[in-house]
Amino acid sequence: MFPTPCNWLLRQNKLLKFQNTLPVLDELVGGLHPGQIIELCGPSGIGKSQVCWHLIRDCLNAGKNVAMISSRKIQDYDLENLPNLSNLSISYASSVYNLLVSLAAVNSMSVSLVVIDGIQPLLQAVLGSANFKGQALLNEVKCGIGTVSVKSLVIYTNGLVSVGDGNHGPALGRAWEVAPSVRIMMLRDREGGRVMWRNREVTARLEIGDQGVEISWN
Amino acid sequence: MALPITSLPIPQSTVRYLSSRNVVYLSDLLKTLPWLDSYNEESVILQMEELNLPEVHRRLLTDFLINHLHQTAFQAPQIGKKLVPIITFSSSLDSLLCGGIFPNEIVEFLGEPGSGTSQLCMQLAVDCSIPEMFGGRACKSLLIDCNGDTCNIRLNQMAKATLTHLNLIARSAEEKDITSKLTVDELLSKVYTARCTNYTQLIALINTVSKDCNYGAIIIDALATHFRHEFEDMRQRTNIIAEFSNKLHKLCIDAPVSLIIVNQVRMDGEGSIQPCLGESWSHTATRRIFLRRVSTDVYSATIMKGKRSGETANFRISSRGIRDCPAQ
Repeated sequence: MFPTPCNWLLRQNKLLKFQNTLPVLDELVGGLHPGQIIELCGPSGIGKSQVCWHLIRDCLNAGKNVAMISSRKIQDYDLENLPNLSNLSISYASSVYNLLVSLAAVNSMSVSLVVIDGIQPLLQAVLGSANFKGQALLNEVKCGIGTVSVKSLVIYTNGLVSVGDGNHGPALGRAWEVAPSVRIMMLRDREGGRVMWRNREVTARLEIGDQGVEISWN
Repeated sequence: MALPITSLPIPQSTVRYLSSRNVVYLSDLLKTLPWLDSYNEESVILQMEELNLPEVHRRLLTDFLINHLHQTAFQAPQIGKKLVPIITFSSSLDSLLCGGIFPNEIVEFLGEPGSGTSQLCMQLAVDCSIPEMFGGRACKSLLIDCNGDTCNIRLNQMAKATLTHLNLIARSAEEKDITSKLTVDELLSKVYTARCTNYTQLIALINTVSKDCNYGAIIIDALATHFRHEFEDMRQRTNIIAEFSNKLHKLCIDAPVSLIIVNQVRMDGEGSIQPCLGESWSHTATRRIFLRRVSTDVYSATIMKGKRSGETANFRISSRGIRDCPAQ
């Protein structure tokens, strides 16, 4: 690859952005364009997958291709209201090696959006005190995601772990903390509403409806 | 991928053999297998036999390919035919569950002791064998008992009550014909029970069942029992649970099974009720339902995660099994 001026690359990437109906999320993450790796981190049931499906629907509406790598079976009711189903490709990953092979395969497809739903169970199984190969595999996954993100927007969902004193942090350890370009923490506030945080400073409010999600500034 | 083959879960002897054949990275290995795009187990075994590998390496590599690289093909999804849910015999609970428990999903039931979880498990196991003519799934079910709460006498009671119910609602001649020939024995012959006394047995059972699963529902009563008290090393527990969760997902993807898992709850530092087994387990289930005992025989179910999150429904547990609460 020849050296390319960065502002040209950034402009190209921004041009490749697909039309989306979540302008607040767009601003929160600094742009939903290729080159971004977005991590949605939060406790179970807070709506990470819902946000992903909303973005998939937007991308399919714009006529672009979407690739999804999922660790859990996708139900028919998720696929019900999606247009242009032939532009969506789904692959199931039940172990890290599956994930690596799928990421390599995505490279040869031309997709605008890559969603990896449920990356935590895949990677958690190889990490641990007895398994020093775990970090190497984590690194490989990071590189794989990085390569894919050159041409597409990558979004994946992670979970939380407790980090002592009742606090929670993103799962998968310190080495994984630097993997995404933006990490969005989704938490419940005192009244039970859902809040999305970026870098513990900027917040937005999430509401889940029948037709999709709504994100507004806090 | 520049992932060296030493990181793969294959033994050192096979790694050495592959390096002698100049296969050093995972990408090299995949290059020798050009048919990775779409294949099933039989074709993997056949095509591995065509390559001239020594027997022991061939077997190990085939195992690795089947277990880890299976089904990585990208496919466009198709909305399949209408799926038949497993009902719970309580219409309020069924409508809360959007019809019941569907195939290919993992549903988690949480509750304190005495909140109706084991009764619900037994009822779901019996409901799997309802004939198709009456809107049931007519499939085998496996009830894995970790606690010792499954009672054959109670299953018998529930099956008898189901048969009585089917006899009452049979209208057409065909339906009456089926119910007249149906016996409690036949209904119960489709319900299999297994007892696990530690987590290794549980994992071994799931491994055996995954190989060729012809059950329609697998119900694990109290998953947390063996994981709560046997582990000193919490990291090891997290890893084992994560791998178990992967196996369960793979089982759901490969076969049209419904996985129903009962979990226990604990009190955390601030006095609120939390599910057991930690945050990493919480992401496994696609739906989570919290059960609670309201009064003598009235119980309530609240959806914590999944469609209709936050809604509640009441049901009753009587001598016949799970039924609706009588209208006020």
